[in-house]
Amino acid sequence: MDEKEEIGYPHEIILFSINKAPEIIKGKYNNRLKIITSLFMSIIGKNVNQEIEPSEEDIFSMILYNLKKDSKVNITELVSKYQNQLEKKIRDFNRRQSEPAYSALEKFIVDSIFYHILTSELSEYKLLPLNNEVLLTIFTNNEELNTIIDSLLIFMENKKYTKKTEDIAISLSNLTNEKLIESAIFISYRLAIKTSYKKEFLYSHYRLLRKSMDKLYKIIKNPNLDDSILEKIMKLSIILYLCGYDKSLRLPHEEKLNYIDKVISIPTIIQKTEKALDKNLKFRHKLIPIDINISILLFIVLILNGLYIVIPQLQNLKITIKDIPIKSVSFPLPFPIDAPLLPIISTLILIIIIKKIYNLKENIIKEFKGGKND
Amino acid sequence: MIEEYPTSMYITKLSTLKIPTRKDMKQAIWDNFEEIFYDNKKIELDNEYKKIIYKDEGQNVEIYYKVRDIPENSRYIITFFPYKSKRKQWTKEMCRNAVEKVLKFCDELGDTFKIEHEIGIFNYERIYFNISSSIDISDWNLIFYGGDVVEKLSIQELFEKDGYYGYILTKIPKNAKFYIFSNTYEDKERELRSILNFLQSFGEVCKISENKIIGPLNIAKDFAEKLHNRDKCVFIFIEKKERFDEPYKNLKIYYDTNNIPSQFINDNTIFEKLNYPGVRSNIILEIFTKIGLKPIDLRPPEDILDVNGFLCLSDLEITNKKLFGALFTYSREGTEEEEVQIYNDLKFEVTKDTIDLEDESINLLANKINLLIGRSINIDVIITKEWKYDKLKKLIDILKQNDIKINRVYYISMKTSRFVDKYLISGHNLNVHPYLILSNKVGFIRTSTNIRFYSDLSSIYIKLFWPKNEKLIVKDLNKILWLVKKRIYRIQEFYQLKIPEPVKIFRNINKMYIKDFESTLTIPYRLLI
Repeated sequence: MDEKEEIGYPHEIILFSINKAPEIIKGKYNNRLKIITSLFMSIIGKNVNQEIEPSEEDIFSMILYNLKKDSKVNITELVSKYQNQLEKKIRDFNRRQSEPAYSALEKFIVDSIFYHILTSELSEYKLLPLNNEVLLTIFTNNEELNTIIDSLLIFMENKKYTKKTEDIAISLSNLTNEKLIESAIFISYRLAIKTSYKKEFLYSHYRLLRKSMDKLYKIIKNPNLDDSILEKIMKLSIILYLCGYDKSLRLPHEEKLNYIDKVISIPTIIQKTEKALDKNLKFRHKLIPIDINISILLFIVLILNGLYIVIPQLQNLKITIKDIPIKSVSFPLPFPIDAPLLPIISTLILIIIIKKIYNLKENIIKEFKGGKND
Repeated sequence: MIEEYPTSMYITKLSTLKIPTRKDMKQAIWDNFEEIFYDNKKIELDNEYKKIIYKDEGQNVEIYYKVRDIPENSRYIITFFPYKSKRKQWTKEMCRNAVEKVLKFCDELGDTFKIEHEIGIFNYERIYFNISSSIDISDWNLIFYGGDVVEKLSIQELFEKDGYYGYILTKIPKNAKFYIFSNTYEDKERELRSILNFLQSFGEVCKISENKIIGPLNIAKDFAEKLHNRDKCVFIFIEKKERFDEPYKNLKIYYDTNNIPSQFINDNTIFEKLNYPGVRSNIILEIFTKIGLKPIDLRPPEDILDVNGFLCLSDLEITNKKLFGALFTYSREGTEEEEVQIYNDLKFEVTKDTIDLEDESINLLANKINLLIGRSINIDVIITKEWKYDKLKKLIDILKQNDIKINRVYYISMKTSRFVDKYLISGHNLNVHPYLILSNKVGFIRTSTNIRFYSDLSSIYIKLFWPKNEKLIVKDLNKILWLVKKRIYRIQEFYQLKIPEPVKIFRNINKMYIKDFESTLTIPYRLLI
């Protein structure tokens, strides 16, 4: 495993955020960024003096501001203020059925997802009414938003997950809406812990993480980053903290590896092995993955040998072998042998089984290498 | 450091019982000037045209004066401004000289002067720009979208960069598709090599036919109609200026209404100016802004973001047609398409500075605005002519019923009470914009801080038209200044930018030929910059 790729990136981002925070809080950046930075510092236990107060018009900044550990404000009032705004936007869309009203509602919901996760994790309140039928109907055709809402429903509302959960994991890993990525990283991580689809959700988690990290890692050294990028980095840092990446930060390297193995496992190898097996095995038992043809052949061997032992008459069935055919050439024996028929057949079947197992191993290795044509 | 800069504006408080009319006041001033300047050899008064001729160092400058009342504050203002005939082009030096002469004339007049009238005596006092009443835009942020990462620089940081045009050009996307048309240069590709090479560095100069990359003008429309994929396409028209006007006006409206970005380039610009980095930057920034891939944005200062956007309402001065326009622009960056609509079914009367819509047309206009904006929103409104208050109130009330809440209404004028000031010629910090708030409702702000043309010499007039019980404050001036400077795609003239973008867009529409249409004509905002 390349240490930097698998462990280093998230830490680099968290460290970047910690180092950049004082500059953001004192510098010429927008209020929302200052507030989210200050919240990040508060979450990691480093309270900073922040004189900026959020505008009452900006509900999300108000929520962020009051999620800080030292905040004395009960956010119930803010949650209901938020829900009023949401209701108003839904009503506006239903009344007008216009594109601008749809865009405004969609943008509001997309922004809300992240704040919904924060309020749920950092307080006892939930922002978005995820089961709101009207909302779900409006966004029926918005696949990505639907995926996120579905996945939130599974892990927050204990909605029963069905076979569809696997599809959700795949959809999460293919997410393209940049504004949903941080939320999806968090959701996929939590669903990996909560559901039996551990490997699927961990795969999504890592894939999204990698996607974000690849982009951000290249640019964090740029001294002129816009507020929008810094806000994204701060949001991601909060999410990484919530996923527990900060804990491994404080551990020695070996412990970090242990932590990753225990808590989140190493998904790529599991994923690839499983995929290769899936492709090459026609039947998989829940516990022992095995090819159905091999099972049948083994079963025949057992029956033949059983019959040979139990029924004495069958022991008299013999076959006289004068030569051994290998491909199209026969090799004559010095003298003919009377061999018992059933053990001979069993031995031949065993030879076929060994050959099949050898082929299976070869195919799996080929799959690993990247396809049968390699 | 000089803190105060004299202007050519004077103000008086009206303490008399009776208030003279503008015409009376203007005459009284003239009569008094005849006495004041009786012996002054530098000053000649042209009685016929009511012009003042100021003679200094062998140069004469004609000066005209205007009188305006501010009734809600019982004040009269007089302003002096250099006169220029429309036919004559003034160089930067001529502009500067004219400003100096007007200020010298005001020096002769003194910081105070009395006007005697049969109603009473009016004491006029000269107004000074005080640097403590100014808006410094140095730390307003510019956002660059076109590079590998979204970057932010303050205005000061950008303009302090060595070769800032070069920096800007690195922030331009490289994915446009250029289609070139020209009658003059159809078969003279080699002559246009410099512009073709330049465009090539920002995308692909596409072939018009199998072996031609420049097509004749008459096939451009057909070509556009048959073009399957118009994504990131822009049509470039290159012509001699004298052959330009008619086809330009006809074609421009066709492409704009069909949502095809087009750019008209005068051949003289290519042959004589394309080597200037400022000209190159202007051309490419405008093209990409029209395509919808805006490379630079001026982010509004956070304290002005109390509304979601600006609605601008204006009549259109197009020959033989009584048209009315409405446009909406968002104050925050976003992906929403902004639109301009032109209406031919509103009934209204226009005088020089005022507009009066019929009652039924107010209802109709409200419906149209409702559809144009299409969502619940808080907005500011800009009007380019003064409205009757009750009509404006009615429009605001109807919009409010539709959840479109009007925060403030500003009347903006470029021609009202034009005056000059020493600030403009004193080598000051170009990012600092002085302003005057003369009353609860009326103010001026110097939006252009550098001289290039005659039009740069004056400040703009802003009147808070609504709500009645609110006062004009610095935040209002900040909003207007942001609307002016958001035309950053004219980077070369950034410090000469004077007119708010929405007003400028209506001025651009006034230059177009608009054929008959049914009720409403909609054009994307970005194509009209």
